[in-house]
Amino acid sequence: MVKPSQLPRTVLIANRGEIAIRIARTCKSLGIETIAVHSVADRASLHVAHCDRAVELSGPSPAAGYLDAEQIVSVAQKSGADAIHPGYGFLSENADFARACTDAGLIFIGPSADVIEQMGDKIAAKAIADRAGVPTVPGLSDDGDDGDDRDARLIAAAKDLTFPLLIKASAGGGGRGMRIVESLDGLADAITSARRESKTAFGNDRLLVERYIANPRHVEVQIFGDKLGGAVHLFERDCSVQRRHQKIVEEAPAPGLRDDTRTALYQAAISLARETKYDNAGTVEFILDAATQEFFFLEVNTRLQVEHPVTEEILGLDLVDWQIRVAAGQPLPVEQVELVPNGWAMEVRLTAENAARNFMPQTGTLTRVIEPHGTGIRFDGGITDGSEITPFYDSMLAKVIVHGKDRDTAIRKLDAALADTSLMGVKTNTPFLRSVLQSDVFVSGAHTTHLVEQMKDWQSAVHEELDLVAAVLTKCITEADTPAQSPWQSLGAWRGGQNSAWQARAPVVLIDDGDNRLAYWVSIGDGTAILTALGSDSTAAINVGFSQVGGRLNVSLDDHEQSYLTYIDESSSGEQRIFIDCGQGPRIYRQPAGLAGWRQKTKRNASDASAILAPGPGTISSVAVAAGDKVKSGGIIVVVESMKMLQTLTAPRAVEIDEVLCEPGQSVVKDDVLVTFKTSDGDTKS
Amino acid sequence: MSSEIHEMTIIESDINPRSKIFKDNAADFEGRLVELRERKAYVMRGGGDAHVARHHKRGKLLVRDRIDLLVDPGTAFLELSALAAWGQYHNEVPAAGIVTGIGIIHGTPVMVIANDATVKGGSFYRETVKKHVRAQEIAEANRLPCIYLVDCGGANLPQQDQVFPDKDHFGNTFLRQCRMSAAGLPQISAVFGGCTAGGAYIPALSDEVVMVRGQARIHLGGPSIVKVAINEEIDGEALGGAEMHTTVSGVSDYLAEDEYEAIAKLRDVVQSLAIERAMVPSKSAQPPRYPIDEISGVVPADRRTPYDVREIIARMTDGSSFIEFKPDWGATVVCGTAWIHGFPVGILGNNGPLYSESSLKAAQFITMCDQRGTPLLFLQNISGFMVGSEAERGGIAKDSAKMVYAMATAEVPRLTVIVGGSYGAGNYGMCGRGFWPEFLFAWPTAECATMSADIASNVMLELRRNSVRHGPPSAEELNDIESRVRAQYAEQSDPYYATSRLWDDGIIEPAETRDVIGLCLALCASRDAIPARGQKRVFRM
Repeated sequence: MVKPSQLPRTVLIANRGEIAIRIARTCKSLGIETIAVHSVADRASLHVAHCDRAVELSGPSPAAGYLDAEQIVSVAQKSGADAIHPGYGFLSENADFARACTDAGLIFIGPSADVIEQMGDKIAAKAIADRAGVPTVPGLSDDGDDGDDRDARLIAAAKDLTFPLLIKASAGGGGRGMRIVESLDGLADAITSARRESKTAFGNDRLLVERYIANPRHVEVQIFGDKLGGAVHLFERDCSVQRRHQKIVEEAPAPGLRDDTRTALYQAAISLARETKYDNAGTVEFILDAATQEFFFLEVNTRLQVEHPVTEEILGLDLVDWQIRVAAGQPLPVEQVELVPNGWAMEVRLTAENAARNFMPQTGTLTRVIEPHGTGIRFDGGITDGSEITPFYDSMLAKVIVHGKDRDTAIRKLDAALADTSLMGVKTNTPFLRSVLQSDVFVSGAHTTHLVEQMKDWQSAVHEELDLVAAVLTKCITEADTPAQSPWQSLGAWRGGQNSAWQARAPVVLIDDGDNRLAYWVSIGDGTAILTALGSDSTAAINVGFSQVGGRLNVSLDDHEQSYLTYIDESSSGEQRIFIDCGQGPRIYRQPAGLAGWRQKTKRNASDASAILAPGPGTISSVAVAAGDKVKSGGIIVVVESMKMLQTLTAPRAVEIDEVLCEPGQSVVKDDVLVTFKTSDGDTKS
Repeated sequence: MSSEIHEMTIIESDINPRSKIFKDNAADFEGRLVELRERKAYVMRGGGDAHVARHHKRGKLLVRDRIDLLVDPGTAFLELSALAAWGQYHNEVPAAGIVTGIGIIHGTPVMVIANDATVKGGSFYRETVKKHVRAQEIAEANRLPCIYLVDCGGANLPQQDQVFPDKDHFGNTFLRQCRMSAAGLPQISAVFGGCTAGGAYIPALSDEVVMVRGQARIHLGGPSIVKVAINEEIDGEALGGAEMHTTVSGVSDYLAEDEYEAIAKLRDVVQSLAIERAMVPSKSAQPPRYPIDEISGVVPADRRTPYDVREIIARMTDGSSFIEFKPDWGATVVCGTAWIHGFPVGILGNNGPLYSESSLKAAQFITMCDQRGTPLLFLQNISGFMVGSEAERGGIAKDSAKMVYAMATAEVPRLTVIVGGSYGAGNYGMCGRGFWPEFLFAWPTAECATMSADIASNVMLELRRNSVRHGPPSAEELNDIESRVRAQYAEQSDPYYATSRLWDDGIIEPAETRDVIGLCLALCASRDAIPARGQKRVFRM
């Protein structure tokens, strides 16, 4: 058993990705050994490399191990850890896990299991807030009311509240089970459906009904308590930019708050901390009416938040360091009066999501990670060149955090830092984040949590021609850099002569992200280049200027200028991929090595076939379809055995089987008709 | 790898680029270069705008576009005899309707022989055949696989007596194709257009064939001949289309959906040859110390004004280095070893007519280079071997013969650049076309003839005066003979007359000569890496 005031010697980090690396960094600075845990899928993940030791978790799915409290506690014990840091997500707010840790004699770096438990229940948390004098959203719950007519009682009670009302699951979070009701008419239906959804999602159909705030902001206060009864607040953060109730831009302080609002927020948070004897890091979340600056308690997050860096930046401290000290029984390192915020900090979460397609998660390999650098710029990531982005975990890849003297400076710096960041290989939300940072409403600080939906018409700026030029130039310039000994290479695209008609002109054929083939002649001069379309009479040339400065390629065309981060990689098959990123997320152009990639898509109508023919002599091994069956494109139709090899014949498109003209065991010769398809209008063959 | 160049070996130039004579020379040369560039620009346009537009409209790429797509990006392509057929056929057959040259595919040098269908449908004129055969000759000598980009209608019928029957006519191209294939030099075709009759054999005799769907056709007899011969009605696509030949007859090995794919497939095929040929020199290349483009000011505007060939060599070799052999003997021929683009080369240049001494010196130098395996470069500016009683008594006939004999039998690669005059036996001694140098290029200042117009007209006048059959000539007749002879020599010693008839592999600019020679040396120096493999026949199945 470790003596309470001593720091742990070895911390097991029960997490992955960015936060695991963040925790390991602080542990290293404190001289604490770190143990990573990882799934099989995460063997090569960056967080494993950042820890001193690593243990592989078993589990039926890639995420299961990280959620397996028993296994993690056992791993910690076996590997000699004396503390566990849960990070955020996974087991971080699991009271049973916290309890299991302490029961096993391990320090749980986080609040006590009791606090986690209390705060995990929305209704219990609200009751505590009421006791602590923290304003809660006017509303009511049907807690403890399991009577058949509980809906009617809820509706009767709701009549006293101001509409619109919000109905949500008592046990839930993340927006599931939530309903907004404009008037009394829709209340009954909303209650019924919310109960159903809540029951499905959480196994519990208790509901909260409360006042709905039309122009809400999300404001939260970081609190910190120690085991000796000390508690401080670390000022507020504004996290109003959310998509699907998940924060994507966070800042500290919150813009535009009156001094009396701030004071009241801090007081509320501190009194809640004292009421719960809160120890370690926590966040008290409030909904704040943008119009009146009234605020109401939402919940307490009993963990380190994703957005903790903005607080660190304005206060110049390390919250993980505090967490470890406090968990070890040490007092808070500073008094409230010593805490003076400085400047403005802002964070964005870079996620593998296609913002243009309703933030659909993206997967793939991050071929190249270009991080931003500069004073007051911080990049907290869990990724590196070659990182695989799998569908098993959260889509967040990294956070970019900046600190500046005021909000305008922070916004500008963050926007510039995003332009200097490129995660090449998967689509990210970068273009959307930048458009938020550039939007008038965000810059003015007048935004609410509705900002993202108000930006529905958002589109990333597309610079089709400039992008093309950048890709083509990247390709040409990179080639020119290749050292060569033979004059056949060292002379470049030599064609003899000094005359312009004979000047070196390189053909560049690329396939763009829409599978279009782009073929250009490129002549490169000193800072200028001429592109002409290949295979056309058009003498219309694209005349561009370019320069390379500090790893960037600047391209100018007519009156437009754009600066790109660029990268080329080559696969083992010889396919080259050219990544260009003008700060709107990377675009990928390919130069295929072999035949297939040069083929323009949908070139051939092979799928027009009206029947399946035998590919050669053989015996029918099996028939997978019957007349009238509908088969998806690529679905198995017949298997033919020939030369001891089984050949599967599949549907060239989605088809309906008209006739089956073969049976297992039957011998066939080349081009025998085996199965015919119905044509689209239901006709059989003409 | 040593790149050190001993100071002692660096040529000291006496040229003053600010002098009036330099500027006058440069201005004169510039005029010749402008003419050359204009003419090359003209042939680069292929069959002209209308034909190019029609070609594009058919979805076809221009011949040089195909080549540029075919070769590795960022690598050189050495086009040969771009001005073939120049000044003939009313200049309606630019580049003789065929582009030949050497390029790199997947690091391997190959000979590309590509028809230009915008020029007379790619049909074969006398010079077309000659250029085709010459390219095959170079390929065979330098052990290059041949890539045929076929888009031609076969022999140009009005030209049939110039292209069909003789031993170095169309049939010879097929002989060479078969023999190269059998000797282990792959012959590969992509067909972009219709190939009838003779044209059909270029792909049919290739080891591997790619055809472009909807565009390429191969048939021994086209639809009209078929109709006449056997009264069968059939359209060209069914008769000899790419799909039929790839899926039915097996004449073609690969069906490409379009030209890009055909070219990509050709690249795949060349990669599958798995030829390793590095072409990397043992020394690292260095530019000359003197500006290359000063050559135009070095060469006198007046052909008869002598100049020191070392001034040209100084602007051609790595670091302007030249290890001169016998510098104090046989002064009219300059011999020495240098490096160009990192490759060693024994250079012979003329500083006047060849005397006995200079012939012997050259013979010794040539045999030494042959012994050492150093390729030879002849810079021809030669009026001939010395004449006169002193020379004859000194044995110029046998001494010059020694030089010719040594040169003719040398087994190292020989390269020739005609930089000035190339007259009479001087042309022989300095490795003229008849001696089959691996490559022969000419500058716009080249003049190639048995003798100068002055001497020739004198000889012809003398012959007339001494004629027994005709009576004594009138002054008028003599004037007429003189002007006729002069006109003939003027016309025929023009470098464009020569290059039009494939007497050389192309006219090049002085400033690019170093690069051209470097490319050729890289090829020649690596040819032994590709062993002759005896009889390795490939039949189309």
